[in-house]
Amino acid sequence: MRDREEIRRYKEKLLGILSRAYKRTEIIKCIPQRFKITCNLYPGICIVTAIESEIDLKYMYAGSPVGIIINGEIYPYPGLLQEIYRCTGDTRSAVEAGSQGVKAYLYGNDLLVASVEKIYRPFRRGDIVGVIDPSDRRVIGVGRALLDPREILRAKAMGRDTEAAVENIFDLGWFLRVLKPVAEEY
Amino acid sequence: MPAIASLKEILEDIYVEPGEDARRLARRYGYLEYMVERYIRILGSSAEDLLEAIEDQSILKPVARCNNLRIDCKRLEERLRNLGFEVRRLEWSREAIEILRTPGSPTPGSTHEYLKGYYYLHRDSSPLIPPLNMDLGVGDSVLDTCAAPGGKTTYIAQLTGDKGLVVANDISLDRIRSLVSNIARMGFKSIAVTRGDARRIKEVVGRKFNRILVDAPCSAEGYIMIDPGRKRRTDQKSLAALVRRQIEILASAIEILEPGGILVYSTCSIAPEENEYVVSRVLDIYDDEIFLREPSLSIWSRGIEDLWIKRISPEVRRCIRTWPHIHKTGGSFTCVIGRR
Repeated sequence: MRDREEIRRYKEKLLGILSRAYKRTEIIKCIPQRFKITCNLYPGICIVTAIESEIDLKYMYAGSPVGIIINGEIYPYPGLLQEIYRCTGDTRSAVEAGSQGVKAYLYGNDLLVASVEKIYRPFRRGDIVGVIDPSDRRVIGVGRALLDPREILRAKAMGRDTEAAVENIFDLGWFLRVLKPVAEEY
Repeated sequence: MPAIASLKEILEDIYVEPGEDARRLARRYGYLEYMVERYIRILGSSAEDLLEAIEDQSILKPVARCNNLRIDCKRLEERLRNLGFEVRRLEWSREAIEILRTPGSPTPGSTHEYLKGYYYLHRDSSPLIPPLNMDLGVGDSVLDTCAAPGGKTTYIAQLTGDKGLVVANDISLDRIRSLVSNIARMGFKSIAVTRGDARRIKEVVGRKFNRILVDAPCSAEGYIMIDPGRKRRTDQKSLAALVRRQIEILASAIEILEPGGILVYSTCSIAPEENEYVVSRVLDIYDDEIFLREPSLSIWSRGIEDLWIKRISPEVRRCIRTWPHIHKTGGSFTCVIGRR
């Protein structure tokens, strides 16, 4: 657990990322108010969770993930983006991936130009975007746009299929890749 | 905490001397002799059926327990079929999809549906029995004292509609990592994870609960088919030590069970020492404060009263057993304890 000031700072940074696509007033109602940070579980990342009410015991982890901190930078968790798209009724700053792209992304790879099937503006090169599996509209990861939407379309038109369009920051396969196998439940 | 029997006393209670038949079968199947002697005493001529069933790992059919808070179970079933899995729904759990055959790729633990948290993958159906016998309702507060890697914890969260509080405790950090990854993957928000020794659970959680699950660390004697090394791993002295720890864990949990509350004790073992004996010893300790309840879901075998082990309570007939050779699952034990 971290102190309140640190939590407030990360929350502000997270709102800053999301505010590039949404008005602050739109998203504030979609994000729970109480945040906790858990850092001692996985190598290299902290998980930021939101809890709905105070819990009267000392715990290591609680609530639902809203963000991940990697090298001191916070990124929205896929589930948070999913909730914002649902709560605002508007998907922004995201790309839909083709089936090969979904598979590759869930294995920790970047999303290639050829795999971008749909673009949800606005975003610019360097912005954080959600990566969506169109088969069920699930956000499967978050990434950093390496190209503007217009550049992606141009790269597609020019057949630069193998150029990376979105750098993989975090995807739903991450836990499975980093975990040491432990005995499965009997 | 009340005084727990000593290791010596437990060993005296549970000790069994192998006979000639047990020695012969133990040699043939590669077991410690005392283990087979117990099977003969419990099952008679069916003991060899058990030993044969354990030789066949394919009797364990994995179960994809659908996360119905995220996906409609019929839709998941359809998606798994489209991926090439042969599946069927279990009648006694509306969330359970048994996997009868898997395609070469993907494996059940690497589908996109799995990564998206649409299901938890159990080795077989037995682990679903304890949560289903906790009489859970939406919004309940529940403690799971030995929770990792989280199969039963996440099922409890589902059965309480993800609206109550599920406190999931474990002692091992490695196993807690697995637990948290399953909770995060499946998107549950009502689970709080604590790290502590279940033998001192009161100090860890500091409050009482109305529903408690004690899925005790055990010898895994019910799942030898996936780890044949267990045929020779636990001698009677080591078993006595395990049993003592199980009694300590169970007694510690009873201390924080509210009056009128329900505690489910379960193991993944067919050893009566870890099951009927542990429960009987705890019934002795808490005398008229606790009793064994009739399980709400019981389509399996029952606990065994007639054993060579000393101090077995007749109440253990209310407990549930699954047997590999009868139910075609892993061997397990579930007992529902009520507090007056």
